[in-house]
Amino acid sequence: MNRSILIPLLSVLLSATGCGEDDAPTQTAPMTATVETVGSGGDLLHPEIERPPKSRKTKRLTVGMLAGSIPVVAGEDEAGQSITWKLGGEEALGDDEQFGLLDRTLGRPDYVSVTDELTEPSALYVKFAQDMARDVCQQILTSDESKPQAERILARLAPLSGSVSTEQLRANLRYLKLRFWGEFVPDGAEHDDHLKSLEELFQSVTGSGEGTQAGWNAVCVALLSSPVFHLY
Amino acid sequence: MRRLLILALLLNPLWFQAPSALASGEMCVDSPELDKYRLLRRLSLDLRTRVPSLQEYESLHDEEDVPAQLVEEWLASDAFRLAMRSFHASLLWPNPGTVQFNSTSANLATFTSQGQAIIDIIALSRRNQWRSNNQGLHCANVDQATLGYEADGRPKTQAFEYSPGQFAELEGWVEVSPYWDPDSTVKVCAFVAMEHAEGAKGACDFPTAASDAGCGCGPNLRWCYGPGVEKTIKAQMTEQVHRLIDTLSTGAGVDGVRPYSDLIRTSRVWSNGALDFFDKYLGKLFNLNRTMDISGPGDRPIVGEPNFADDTWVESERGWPHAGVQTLAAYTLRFNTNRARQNRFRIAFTNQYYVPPTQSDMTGCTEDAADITERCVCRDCHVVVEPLSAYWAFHAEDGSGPLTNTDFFPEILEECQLDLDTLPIVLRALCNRFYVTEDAEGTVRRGWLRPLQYAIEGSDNVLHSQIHQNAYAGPGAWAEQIVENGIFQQTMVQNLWRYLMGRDMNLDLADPDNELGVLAELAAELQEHDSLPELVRSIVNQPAYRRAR
Repeated sequence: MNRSILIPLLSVLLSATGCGEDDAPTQTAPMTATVETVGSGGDLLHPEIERPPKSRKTKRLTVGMLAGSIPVVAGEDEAGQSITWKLGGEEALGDDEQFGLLDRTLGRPDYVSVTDELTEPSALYVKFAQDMARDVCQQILTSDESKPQAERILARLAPLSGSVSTEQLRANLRYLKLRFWGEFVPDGAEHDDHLKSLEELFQSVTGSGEGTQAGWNAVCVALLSSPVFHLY
Repeated sequence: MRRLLILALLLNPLWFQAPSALASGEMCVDSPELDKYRLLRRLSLDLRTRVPSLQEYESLHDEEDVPAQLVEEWLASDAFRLAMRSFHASLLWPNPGTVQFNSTSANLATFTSQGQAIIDIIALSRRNQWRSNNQGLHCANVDQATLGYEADGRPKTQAFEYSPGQFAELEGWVEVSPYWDPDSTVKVCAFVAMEHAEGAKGACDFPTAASDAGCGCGPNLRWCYGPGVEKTIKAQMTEQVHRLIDTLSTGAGVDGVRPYSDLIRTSRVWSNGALDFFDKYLGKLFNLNRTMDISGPGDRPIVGEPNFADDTWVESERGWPHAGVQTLAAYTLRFNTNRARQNRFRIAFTNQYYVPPTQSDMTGCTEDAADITERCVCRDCHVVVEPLSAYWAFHAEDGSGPLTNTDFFPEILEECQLDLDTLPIVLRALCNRFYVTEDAEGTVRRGWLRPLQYAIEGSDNVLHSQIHQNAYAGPGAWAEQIVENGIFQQTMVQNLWRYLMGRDMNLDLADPDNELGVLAELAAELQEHDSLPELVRSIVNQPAYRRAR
């Protein structure tokens, strides 16, 4: 490894584990302890506490769930057909009876050669989640262009093109969070980190001269490729 | 750049956090409780395999929690029916996709002959039986009506130049409405289309017909597999399993949701035109090197003339040795030996796995005993495997047919006790595959059906006696046993818990947080109500289901 990278990296690791020079015991530290009574104190045994019950484990969407959920969040295209993930014009995902191009790749079991569907995040899944987001978001955007605002998927509470006010942006992002992630942000909520991040994303894209539609596209890709969408 | 992006995404710790924690910012809170919106999303994905719609989320604005009524609606929905199909598929693996029903001698394909698309048998050997030129040629592109027929109805042939200067006696084609698409007509080689009931070797709807030049594929080609027919039948076999599951989840197709224990106990079975057609015609012409699918006593009755293309599903009764899903064709073909059948059943419905001991007891056994339950090391598992496998003794291995048709499968076939070299080749193959022969099995009970080799009534050997008892009881008896003693219920609670909770139940006695009490409670409830949707409701109402980590 390059020495110039190794030394700062080790420094970071050492500081993170509290083993840096600053934390080393000093010569002047007292070698014995003194006990000072400051109150009556409590029972030595901790009282019973109610621990939260064991929880359900967070899982990744199965391929079937992903296939079923995309049309729900993405709506319909300009021809009235449900928007699905396409690869070269063909369905990327199918169903149990008719697999799409990527069902096997993503691990949908056929119960002959694959009998278990592993629902752990993997490099392969993350890569294809990105591909899916880019394809589906472009379809949504194209479809939105031909729809009245109230029927749009991405820009329902804000303009699809042209300038977008901060209020419009926040309202639309709150709507998108609920639609894509099932997360409700009340009107006026100021401390929602995700909302803030999405707002910054939109502004950084539009601010770089890419245009408003590119901003919505970036927000859509962020929503659809986020672990919040793929885990439940 | 692209690689860096993927790496960055992978390193994103958010992929390994609970989404509720991501949303709320409560990264350090142990098992935070979901809000109503996230709970709705979780319920929708588990019960319907899709996220809720915007309208469904918005309908929660004025609710304190996810309405119980909504869960009820989802439990009765078609999406829940499909979700339960997926769950049970993960237990039963109902895909007979790799098996071959018959050889290429009984399979048809579309070929091009002299510029004409015609249907012919795939196997060159069978084509040569008819055309006798050893070239595997197809028929000529000429209407058989112009060539005519012999007095016995066989097509007349004519010399055709099949390549420059090369001539062969070939028949022409005839137009047939094939059983797989009766509204259409296809051109079929005239020998293939022969409808004779009898050939030189006997009946043409008998297994020997495939090597009988006097036999064709029969009326509407019913004795041969048309293009795509095998795939269609396999898909219907899978659907047959799904239809049984439907009756237990939402009651689709029947009056009300049926008891969950019907999964392994029911005598009812769904079938459609393709499956009836398979049982009546195609399965009957089995090939001893392929699956054994001939029907027999205990199978559902087939009323009238089946229409392969009729996709109407109807329910009927089956008798012994059938019971539940474990004797449906998709199961017996997917798990094609009796040992595999009991193993999958044991895992899926009793939650028991074979784990060999770390050290074998080598006393009182030999390393070459013919009876595997007496063979050192092997016996460690097989003293359990063999009696349980015996429940499927009357179901053909590598097949879907019961061995109850005594015309083909008497319990003892005396010919198989003779020197096999003296037997006709077909009989020798039958003995080798289904009966105890000297070469294959030593001398113990030669001539007996193989699954009955050690099924000895009243034997001093407890295992042999047990094998006999189980063989004549059938897999329904095992099902009854585990439903009655509660093992089925305990196992299905754990299976469904794993499906809905994403983890196994904590059954560690030493852990104060164990879930033994919950298991006992849910299993007792299931024994009482015997209802799949009620069990699902009970699990999604558990406090743990509402939490995430």
